[in-house]
Amino acid sequence: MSNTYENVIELKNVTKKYDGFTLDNVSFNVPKGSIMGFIGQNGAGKTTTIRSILNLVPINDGEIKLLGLDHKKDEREIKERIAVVFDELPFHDIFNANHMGKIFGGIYKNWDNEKYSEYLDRLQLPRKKKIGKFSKGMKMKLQIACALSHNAELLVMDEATTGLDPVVRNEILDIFLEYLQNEEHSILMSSHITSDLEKIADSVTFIDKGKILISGYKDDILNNHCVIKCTKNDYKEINPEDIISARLNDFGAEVMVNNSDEMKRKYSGLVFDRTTLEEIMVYYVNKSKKEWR
Amino acid sequence: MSKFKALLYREFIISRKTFFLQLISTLATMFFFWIMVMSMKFGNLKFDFFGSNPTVENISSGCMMLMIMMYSIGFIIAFISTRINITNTVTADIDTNWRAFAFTLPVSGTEKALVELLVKVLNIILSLIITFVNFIFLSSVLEIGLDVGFVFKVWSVILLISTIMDFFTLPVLHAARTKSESKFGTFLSTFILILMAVILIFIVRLPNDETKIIKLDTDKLNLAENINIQSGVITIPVESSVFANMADILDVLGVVAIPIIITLLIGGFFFSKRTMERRYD
Repeated sequence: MSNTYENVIELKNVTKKYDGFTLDNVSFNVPKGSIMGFIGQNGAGKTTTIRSILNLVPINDGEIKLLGLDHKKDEREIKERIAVVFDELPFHDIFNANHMGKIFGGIYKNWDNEKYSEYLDRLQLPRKKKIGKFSKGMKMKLQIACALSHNAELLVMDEATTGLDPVVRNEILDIFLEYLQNEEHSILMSSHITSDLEKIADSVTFIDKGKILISGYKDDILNNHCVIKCTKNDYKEINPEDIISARLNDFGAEVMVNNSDEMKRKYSGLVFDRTTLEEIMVYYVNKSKKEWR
Repeated sequence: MSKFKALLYREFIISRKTFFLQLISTLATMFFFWIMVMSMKFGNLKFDFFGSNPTVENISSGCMMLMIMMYSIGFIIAFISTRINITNTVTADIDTNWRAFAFTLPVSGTEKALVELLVKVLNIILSLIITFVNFIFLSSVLEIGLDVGFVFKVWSVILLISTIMDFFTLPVLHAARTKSESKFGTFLSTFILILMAVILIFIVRLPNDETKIIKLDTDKLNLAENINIQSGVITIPVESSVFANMADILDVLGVVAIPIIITLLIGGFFFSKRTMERRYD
């Protein structure tokens, strides 16, 4: 039975402490019917956040809701309605696609065997070949076929496209866009391949060293940020409070700023370039240094 | 297919190759012993257990040898059959990171632990069938009366050893997150087996009240009173201090083995359930 909710994932002040690393007051929402890209460099806390959301690790503080339900109390119901895809296939090499269909068919109440067969055909996955003989791309496709065949409302992916070639990644991203045609479906996708997220994400959350640096609609983030390319002399004229961070080289500086429109008015003589999520990530990671090479 | 059946199906697919290999090797070992016994009784290796001029002493010694042969083979096969087990699935799950993924599925620790318990029970039933089929065959070939109660007692003590091994090993394997941690579980299983074998041997070799030396002593037999001749069959009760200690141990353990096994199985179920529900940190 479906309940009504606005955000498919809600995190409020989630804290998780390890020796040497803390997920510190992480808060963000994933609206229903959207795809959120969760980006950060290696070791930033993406996997820890996802494991906390899925209740794979207990949190020290905070509140998590999935599908409008408490992630601990209503765990069983949530798990019937979500699907998870990890970076490595967690199925034993001895199985084949038919075996997985039978196993998941018994596990999930809403398993759709016809849909599963369609995905296998579409992704050209052999039914009787052992998974141990699959390529990396085929393994990921099988995992996704299994994930999308029980009418899950939420798909959570942890670095699922890492290590795949561009052709396979493109194929998978197309499937996700089709999945999102249904407004009841949502995706949380963690990755450090920002180009994939630029293609399909509606919103983006950027995490670094266990803290959320940016969270919002992708287009707004991209429009609000830009890179000023200037000489060293011009760089000295820029107010340090306007600078997120600056990359210096022998010829000048590339300066990341927020509030593009205001900056364009303020520094009208300078050259402003559009930026990418990757650049935003790099500049924000170096924010504490302020200047870097 | 229901959730329980799906999990059982998964267990079967993963462990069927190892299971059938273990079963075939157990049966092959059993058939090897059968051929050996038949050869010694009827075939090319025929051995006159009672000597060319059977005397009461020779018959007694011969019966002793036949009994030792029957029960040694029977206990070896009984032990091997109780070790057809499910640890293969547990270690396979560590290799594939299935355990972390399984937490994202709508499957409870109870359901997973129940599947494990059912497989154990099926293994126990299989082991009982193999043990008794083996003993029945040996008994008829060697023409030694089969004491069903004694065989059941011995089998239950052997099963008790096997269950104790699993009781300590399986939670270690369930808690293991890496291959090296799972190897510790396998090492623990072997260690417990050796420890129990040493304890058993030590107990068996303890001198009892009647004799100080563990050897076959036919002078202790009161043959005139105990010989029974019926329908051309001579029945001679054979006692030996070799078996005296073992008989005492079996009398005690045989009674308590089944209740202890049931307790360990139920305890193991809750232990496994708890370990399987434990989140990583």
